[in-house]
Amino acid sequence: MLTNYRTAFLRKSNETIQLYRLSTNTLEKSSSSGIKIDIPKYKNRTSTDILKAISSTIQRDPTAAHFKYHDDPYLIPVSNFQKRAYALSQESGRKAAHWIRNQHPELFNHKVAFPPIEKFYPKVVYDENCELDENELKIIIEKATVSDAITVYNLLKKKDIEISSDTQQSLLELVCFYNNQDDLEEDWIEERWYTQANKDREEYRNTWKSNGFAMTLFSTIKSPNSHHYSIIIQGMAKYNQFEEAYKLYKEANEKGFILSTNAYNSAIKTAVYVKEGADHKWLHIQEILTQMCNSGVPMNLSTLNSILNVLTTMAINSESKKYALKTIAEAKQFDIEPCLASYYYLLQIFCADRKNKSTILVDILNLIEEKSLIIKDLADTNFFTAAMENCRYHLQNVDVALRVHSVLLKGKNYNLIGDSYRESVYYRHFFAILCQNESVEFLMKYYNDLVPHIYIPEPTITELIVKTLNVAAAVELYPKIWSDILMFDQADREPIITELIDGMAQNLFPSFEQSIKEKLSLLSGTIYDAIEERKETGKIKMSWTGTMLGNLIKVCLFGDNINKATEIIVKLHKNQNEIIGIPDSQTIASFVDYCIENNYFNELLKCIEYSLEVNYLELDDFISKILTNMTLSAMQRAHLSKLVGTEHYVEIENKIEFVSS
Amino acid sequence: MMFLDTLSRFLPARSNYLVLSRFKHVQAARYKRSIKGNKPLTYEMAGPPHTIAHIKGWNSWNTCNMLDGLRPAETAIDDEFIRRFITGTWHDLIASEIIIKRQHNIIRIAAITVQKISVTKIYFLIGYTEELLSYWLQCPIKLELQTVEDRTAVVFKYI
Repeated sequence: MLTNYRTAFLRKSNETIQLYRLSTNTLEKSSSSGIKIDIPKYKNRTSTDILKAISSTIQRDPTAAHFKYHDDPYLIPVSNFQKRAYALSQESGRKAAHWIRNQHPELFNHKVAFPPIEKFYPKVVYDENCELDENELKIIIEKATVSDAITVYNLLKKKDIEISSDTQQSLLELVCFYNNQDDLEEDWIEERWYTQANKDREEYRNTWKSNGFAMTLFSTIKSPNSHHYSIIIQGMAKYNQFEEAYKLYKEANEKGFILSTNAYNSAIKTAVYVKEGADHKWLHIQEILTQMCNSGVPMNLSTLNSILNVLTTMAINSESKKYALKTIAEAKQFDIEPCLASYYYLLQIFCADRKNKSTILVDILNLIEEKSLIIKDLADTNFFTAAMENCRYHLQNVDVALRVHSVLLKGKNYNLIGDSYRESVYYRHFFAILCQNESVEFLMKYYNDLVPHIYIPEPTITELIVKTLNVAAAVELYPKIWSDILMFDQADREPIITELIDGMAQNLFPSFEQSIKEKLSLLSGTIYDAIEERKETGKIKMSWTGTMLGNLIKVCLFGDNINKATEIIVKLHKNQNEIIGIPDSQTIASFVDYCIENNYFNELLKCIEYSLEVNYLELDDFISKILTNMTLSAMQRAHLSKLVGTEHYVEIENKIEFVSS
Repeated sequence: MMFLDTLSRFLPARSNYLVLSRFKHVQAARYKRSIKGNKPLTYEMAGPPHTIAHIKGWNSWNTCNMLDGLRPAETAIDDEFIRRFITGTWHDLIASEIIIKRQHNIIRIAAITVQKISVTKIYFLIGYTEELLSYWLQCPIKLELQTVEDRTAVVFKYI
């Protein structure tokens, strides 16, 4: 490996040397002919620019698992559950190491790296014995560790060390931003990726710590100025303590303070809870906006987003669309460009009504298609999921969905997908719309690309995909989809299995080549075996239905897999109590016909045995068919008569003779 | 051999014999044949040291021992620490030598493990090993594991 790299590198460097020589030659010539050389301006590069340039040459490889997983067949996850479990296991191992370091900090104080790397050293514990001053507090605030900042502040207070108002303000900013508690550390990437699903539920739930450190700090400030008010209002609004925030806003107003733009934005957001009814909410917004205008505070992007956010809560009101457009127009005057969050709110406002379809998404796409997007608002990550959902339920248009997808894949836009939950919701909608609208080839193109490493379909989506295959009679894809179903642990989902087996049984055309027929019958055999095996080990609790097994028999017979078909018949006979319903008589008839045609007497007997048990109406027909179309030895006849019951047998025989004479 | 020739010229016969016998019976990194001939060796174990760079590679890849190389002694100690740490942490799971490769400030540790514990546990150990060794050696550590079903998969020959 290493030598390969080395030779490649050497070759590369040789080339550059050659190029350099060539260029120097030409340069000499050109300079002699008197052409001025334009030396480009020096560009300032940061230390990671080269790394960024290199990484931009690499794309996501759909054939490999995500790089966080180990590249070994045993260690690569194949289902959603495994993906989550493996990634989180690794992180929990890292946490264990972290815990050990914090438990024994004295062991990890050696300094090997030069320059020293802070991240590898154990955390400093602050207590009364530490030599502390205000600078230390400033550094901690810079590092944004909330709990440490609070302890150090309290220690400083105890020691009666004066703290400047600037530091006090930045501490207030810190605790308000993080709601008095430590944020999930940056290092735990997987935990962030997998747990944010719960955050949606917390939307609009008041999580502000009302008796927290922030409030105490705010109350100790003797004469809070406009900055302090701005900070605390923003903090409260961020954690949905709207009423208090609004109260403080009014208080600040009475004192004649001019707040920061973001504090006004937070005040706008409080409309969601403080006011009821669309008219009141809009009045509230207008009031604050005039206040801003009078104080000479300009609006910014987040003002726009807060207004739109409030408008989404009154989207049923027909006026809200008008208001939204007005706001956007106003923002444009200030040269404020809407970000993805604004578009997300617009989608919600315009598409709340299911009857009147709005094609606003297309207009939005026209605007953002050419841009490379960066995150500007926390709600930006909601956009792509919402857009795809809009395509699926509102527009029901696959072309728009594809456009959304191409925007997502452009540049670094994929970073805006949010977290694993949003990602899988996005792809759920994407596949649903592909299944509804496009040909199988088209669907499979995306399926092969995205499954299983980027997205693993949920059971409902698998069912949709199977349905699409059935409708298109894409029999050649059944083996692949079946192995995928097994891999994703979805073989216990009854709707999927029923759909798959039904589809297989319906798409049997005599014009198929023999090899395809055989493959299909083999597949139905494997399906039967795989499910049986899993039922025995208790992995699958689904019970067979007669129709399912009947369909399997049909497919088996279609490809001359008589052994499997007989096995299923025997299974039907033996486990009648566990199997719901019976196969239809047509299936049994075709089994009988097949046996007569190929002279399989023993298999035939098993079938008749079962039909006697179930007592099909067509039973007599079956037997007479056997007697007329099959040449039976005396022994076989005796066998059959014993099975059917001698009297009944003779009756049927007589009937046949009567018909033939 | 040149050295031995000159040596034998100066020394009496008895010492000559002793020197030669030492030369012949080098034991380091050579495995002794078992009586029944059923001692399993991996590919790496099967080659004596003089085959390094001919039929097998080094177990530690670094530039510390080159001219003007940095920290040769410390690196050797660190490597030994890593080996002991990993064989202890991955108890009874490592089926091969532990290969330690240093590039810039990154240490890549490669090994073959046995699929004896569940995958989630393997991932836990990967995360734990990488993180703790990073804290200890203060540089990024990467584990590069391959798994085999059982130890016989890595047996090259029996002696």
